[in-house]
Amino acid sequence: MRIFLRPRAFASVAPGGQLRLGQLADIVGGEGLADLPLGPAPAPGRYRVLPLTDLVRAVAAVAPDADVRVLGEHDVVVRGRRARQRWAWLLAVAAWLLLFVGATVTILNFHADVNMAAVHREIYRLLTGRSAEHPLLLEIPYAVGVGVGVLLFFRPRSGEPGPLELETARYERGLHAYLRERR
Amino acid sequence: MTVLVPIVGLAEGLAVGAAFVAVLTVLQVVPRLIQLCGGSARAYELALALGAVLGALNEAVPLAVQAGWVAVIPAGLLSGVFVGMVSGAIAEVGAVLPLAGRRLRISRWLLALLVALAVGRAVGATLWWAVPSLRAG
Repeated sequence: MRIFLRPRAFASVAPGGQLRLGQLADIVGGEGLADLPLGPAPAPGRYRVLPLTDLVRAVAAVAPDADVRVLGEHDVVVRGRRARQRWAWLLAVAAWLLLFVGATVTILNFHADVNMAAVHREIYRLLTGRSAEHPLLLEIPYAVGVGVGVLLFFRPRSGEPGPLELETARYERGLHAYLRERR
Repeated sequence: MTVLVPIVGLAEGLAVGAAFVAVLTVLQVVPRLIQLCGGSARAYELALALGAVLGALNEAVPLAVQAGWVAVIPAGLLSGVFVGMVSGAIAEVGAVLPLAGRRLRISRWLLALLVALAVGRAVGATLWWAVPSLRAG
């Protein structure tokens, strides 16, 4: 009998109870293998790295004659899922406010640093020949442009992941690679 | 030539806004926040866009909400946290700490190094406010 295992790179599981082979890998061939126990599931928010050899060993224990083939090379990183906490949204609101205030202050600092008010007055004078203390005609489109520029950067095309999603995925991949190597 | 004015303004804003978030993205500030606090990337993008517009708009129409210290304390705290986070992230791009830890063979004291950097920044910020001569010029 030939059995194929395709290990997942990462699995998020309910904490407490047993890890099952079916949670960690896609299985082709064999019977009832998805329920094979593989030790305790990690506590909420904790990680456990399962070497591929553990998966093979578990299968070999119940099907000694099987020809087990592993389609993949990465040990499986398992994390215990966190229960949804009631106040979790408060933390997200705080992070939102942090970015909001941070963005405001950054632009204010930048303007003070490069003396943006004077530059805008000068641009306005160059274009119109008149001078104005607050060239609103220039500055309001500018403010709109800053917001549009931010959103343009993040959403180049609908249906494609934006740079933030990609950075988040890269961050997680780095984390998982670190956990595998440290094991 | 007056018709050019809003076009120039919009173009300038586009460049500034895109550059601003490009730097933040390279620094991986938002992925870290998502990991720490949850929430969606979409919502955080909106926060950055709105905040940047508010900052830019202040130059055109000086804005004021008369909310007193209730607003001032959280705003000071949040902007401090933001600057601390970004400055930490900038140092991290150069992987200064892990390298220093390896080279000097003090990897075990990495946490202490981190605390030293954080406290140093706080002391620096306090000195800057407290010593008038630092602010002159």
